[in-house]
Amino acid sequence: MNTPQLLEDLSAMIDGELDASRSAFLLRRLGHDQSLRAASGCYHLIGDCLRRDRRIAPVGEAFAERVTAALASEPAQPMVAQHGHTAARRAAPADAGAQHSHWLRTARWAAGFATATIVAAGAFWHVQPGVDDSLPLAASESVAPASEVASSGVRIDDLRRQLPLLPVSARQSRPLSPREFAPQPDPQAWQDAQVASLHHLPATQYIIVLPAQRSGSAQAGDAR
Amino acid sequence: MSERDVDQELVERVQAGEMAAFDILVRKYQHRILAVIGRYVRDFSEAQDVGQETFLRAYRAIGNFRGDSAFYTWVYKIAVNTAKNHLVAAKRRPPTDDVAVEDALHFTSDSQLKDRATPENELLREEIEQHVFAAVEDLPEELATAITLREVDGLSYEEIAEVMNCPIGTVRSRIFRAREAIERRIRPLLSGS
Repeated sequence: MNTPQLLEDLSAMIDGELDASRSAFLLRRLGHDQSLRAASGCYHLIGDCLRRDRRIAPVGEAFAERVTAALASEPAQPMVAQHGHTAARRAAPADAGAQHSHWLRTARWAAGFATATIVAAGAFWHVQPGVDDSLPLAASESVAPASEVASSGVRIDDLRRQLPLLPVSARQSRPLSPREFAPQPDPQAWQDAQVASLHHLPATQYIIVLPAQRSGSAQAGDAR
Repeated sequence: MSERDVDQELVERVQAGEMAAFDILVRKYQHRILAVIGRYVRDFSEAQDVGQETFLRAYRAIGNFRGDSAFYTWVYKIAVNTAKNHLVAAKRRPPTDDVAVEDALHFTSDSQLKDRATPENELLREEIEQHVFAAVEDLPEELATAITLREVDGLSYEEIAEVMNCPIGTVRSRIFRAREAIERRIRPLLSGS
């Protein structure tokens, strides 16, 4: 049963005066509400008659319902519009679009992780200035050779894994060594210097290297 | 928003997978499309079969519809081709005095198309039209004005609000109430057709 509000929305929608979210809701209702569909047909016919449109051959509700039934038995098909049509963007993501959005999600996640790592490293130095070199590592970390462990107790392997997430210039202009990760005499000054060096880099130099997904993105771009 | 804009938005919704939007387009143009087909296929039952095939073909191809022409123009062409193919398949000859799409789209009260309509269709159309105008005459003045400004003059709700010096929400409500009142008058005719 249709509420007057739904019918009023329908009336506004066929005039192109209903907002997108309510149109979407109404279209979902139309899919399974025969009386709403009938009202839609009737409203259009009223307009044709008021305009004294001689081009019409009025048909009853049965014809439109027949077409609706025939459409329902149509096999599902991808609705791919051409040339970047708006509908293509609204449509269920095609492979290229899916790859692209997957790449974007991954890149956003990686960027967030890189930021968090830098902040966490800074915080680590801040709260533990002058960590005793003699402190034992946790049992699970004790496999790292002593030479690969910075004096702070941070494993170099862990830091190297973060390299791809660092700015290009940071990796290229300053080869990393264990000593670079060691706390400076003044930890706060060291942290400030690291942050300041990042601020001097152009935003475009923050490149996240994820080779496999990069090639996927390139393919997605080609597909578009 | 023009009629073409409204149609384009519906088309894009269909292309996005909302089949109900296509249903609205079918109901909007079914009467005109069947009139077009009726010029080729005189039997109304047969014409309805061709009409159904026309809309199915349009649905299958709508992914390629880019909006270069109006949706109705596009479906009109499909309807003409489908009707001609139907006649060829039935080993009947299509009429030689074909009407060009561009011309046919601008016929409204012209006699050229009226003459081509079947007598039954023409009678039904006239009967419905009479009921519609009688219903409008019985409407309160503000409802009759609102629906006329919208359907005949093609004004937007905002423009009608300005003309009638009332809020847009009131315009929307008046147009809806007018349609409801008219629908109640013509519903029996449609269910019997």
